[in-house]
Amino acid sequence: MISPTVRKFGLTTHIGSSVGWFGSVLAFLALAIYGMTGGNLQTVRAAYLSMNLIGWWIIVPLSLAALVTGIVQSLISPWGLFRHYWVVIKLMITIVATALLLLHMQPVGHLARVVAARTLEHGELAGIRLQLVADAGAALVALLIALVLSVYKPQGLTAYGRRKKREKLRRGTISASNQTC
Amino acid sequence: MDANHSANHGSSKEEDETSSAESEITDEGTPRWVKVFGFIALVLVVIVLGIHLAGAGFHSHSFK
Repeated sequence: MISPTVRKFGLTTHIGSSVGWFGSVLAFLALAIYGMTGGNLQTVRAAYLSMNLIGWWIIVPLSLAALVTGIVQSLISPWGLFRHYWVVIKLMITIVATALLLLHMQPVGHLARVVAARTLEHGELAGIRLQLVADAGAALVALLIALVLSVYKPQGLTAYGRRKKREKLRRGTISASNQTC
Repeated sequence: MDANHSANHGSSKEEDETSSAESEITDEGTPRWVKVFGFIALVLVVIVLGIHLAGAGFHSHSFK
């Protein structure tokens, strides 16, 4: 059996990494918006260089940490990984968000390389700059949904969860019958 | 005999409770919020895929 201390440590690391991920995406979004709309070209350069650093040094590690600690936490807690819809959906959101993040770090790196070499003109590479704003906004919405699911824990057992619950009920009945006999 | 009878009676009562709890679990099905969530997620995936496949809007992932 997992001790309450270990369980609380797991929960703390999961909440810490998830909240850190959310906060760093907020910072990323602010920089992406400034990068697209900002007037000072030197600050725009700094914004894209910072986004590359924040992305690789903070957002990617925290997203992976949130995914791993979330899986571990669900397995060592009574919720399980595939028993409740809210856990399954949260897992899917985290996997998809992490995969898309890793895929979309490519444009960030591209912009960082460009601004490291020269100053971006207004409207230059507008497609990528808009994409970064959209990516960060979408990530924020996905993380907000995951946050709401974690707090409200809406009811609903999956087919696997229902089967497990039925088995537990049957085991309970059998052991109660044996005790009665 | 009476004790045996009451023991059997208790056991069948527990079984009844279990079977009614089991039928409740079986009847649960997929909650409405999951269906709504799935529908919205599907629509979003189709929209994003459509934008990417159409090549409009966002830049592609290759820059060379």
